Amino acid sequence: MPLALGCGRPAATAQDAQLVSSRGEKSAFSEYVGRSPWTVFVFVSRDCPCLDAHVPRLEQLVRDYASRGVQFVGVDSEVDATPESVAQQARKLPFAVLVDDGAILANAFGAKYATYSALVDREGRVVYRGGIDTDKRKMHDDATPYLRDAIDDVLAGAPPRRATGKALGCTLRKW
Amino acid sequence: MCVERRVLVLLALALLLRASPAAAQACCAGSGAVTPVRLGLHDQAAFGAQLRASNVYGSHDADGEYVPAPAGAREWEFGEDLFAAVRVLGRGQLGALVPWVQTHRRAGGREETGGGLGDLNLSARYDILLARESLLVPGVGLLAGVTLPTGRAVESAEKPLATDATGLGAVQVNGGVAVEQVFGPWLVGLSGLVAYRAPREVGGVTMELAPQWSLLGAGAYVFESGASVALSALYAVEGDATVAGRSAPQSSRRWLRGSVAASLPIDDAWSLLGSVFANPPVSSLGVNQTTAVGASFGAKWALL
Repeated sequence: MPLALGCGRPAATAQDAQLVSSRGEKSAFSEYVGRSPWTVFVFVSRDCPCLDAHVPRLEQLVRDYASRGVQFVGVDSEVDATPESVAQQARKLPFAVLVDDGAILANAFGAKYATYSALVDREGRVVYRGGIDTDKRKMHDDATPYLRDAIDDVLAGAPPRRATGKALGCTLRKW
Repeated sequence: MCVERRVLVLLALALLLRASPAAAQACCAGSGAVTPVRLGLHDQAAFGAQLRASNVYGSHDADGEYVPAPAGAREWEFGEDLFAAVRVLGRGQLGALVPWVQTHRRAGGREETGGGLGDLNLSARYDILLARESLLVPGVGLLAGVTLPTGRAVESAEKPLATDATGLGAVQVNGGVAVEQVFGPWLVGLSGLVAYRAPREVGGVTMELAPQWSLLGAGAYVFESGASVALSALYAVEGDATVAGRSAPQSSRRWLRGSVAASLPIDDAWSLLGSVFANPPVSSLGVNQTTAVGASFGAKWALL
């Protein structure tokens, strides 16, 4: 079973996801996650202030972990996402954004809100899914860094201390 | 027969002329009516408080003509509301609003102040579809509520000008549907509500207010900071009341209330709320209803 959620429930439909780049190139999910030991998918939405507020933290995460075998990618699962629109979104984010046509990946991961993130291993297993941290729009120094904790744990060879976290972003317009 | 007729006339007059405190309370519970406090998208619970003050500067008569308040007459209404809401079943929420009402009234050379606990409002909302989930289909929410007669009804008032009347005097059950959609920083919503008021005994006579229908339209703009400004209009109508099984002529009511409200988030949990509202002093926009202008200010705390 190449893809399973942290609780062991299969989410086979993620394998069907075709991720389209801003240049219109398509990549299969398995092909994408196979490029790196760990992949963080961050679900995005245009004009979402909660996502905008988290950009500095995402930039810091990329700086801290990109050289340690963690690749980051944004996913736009909204119904009106296009290669052109994700190219525009990527300008304010520290990673590329891909179109999730039909919201297949979002549905497979249970993503309903922007900032929802999934930490996936090379085989496509989701080990953490949920919010980036406990903040919504106002950033606090004492926020619990769900995603960072999960990355630290797996890089240390341990399972994430929590498998899920609440995401506090805008509703994804999937249809 | 003569006595019965006199009772009916007196009750009808009481209903028409002395119902303003109760009407104001029903309106305030009614305008937020079914969702006095609305949880944000990710809020699990919230509570808050608000202060209200309004001045009655005129009224619409039974023919819909606007009549300014007579010289020497004065009426101020104040309110303090406590409200709370909690999320249930993922997309559902339950709310409660506890109002305190005070009225200061001067009329006919008499001046008095009274007040007390108003009518407790309990509400429920279930969002079948959230705004922004679909590009084309707006969010749809089912609304329900009940207002309990915990306040003092006008017929039970002890003060001569009935300033100690703080409630409708009857159980009111609300139901409705709300639709809303997000367009970038704009939120547009429309809610339709109907309220059924249970019959009650007044002096041995059964009195029943007609069902009340209301339509609430609102448009809000959300700024980058998270602050928002909303413009809304509430239009409500109700037919003639029934007294002892007979329709009380010219007791129907209707009114329009416009408001501008603002919300300023302090952080992800705390926000300040404020509004100004008014019934326009334009003939035909109201019937058997006082016209007032007022403001409210409050604070809300939400648990994510």
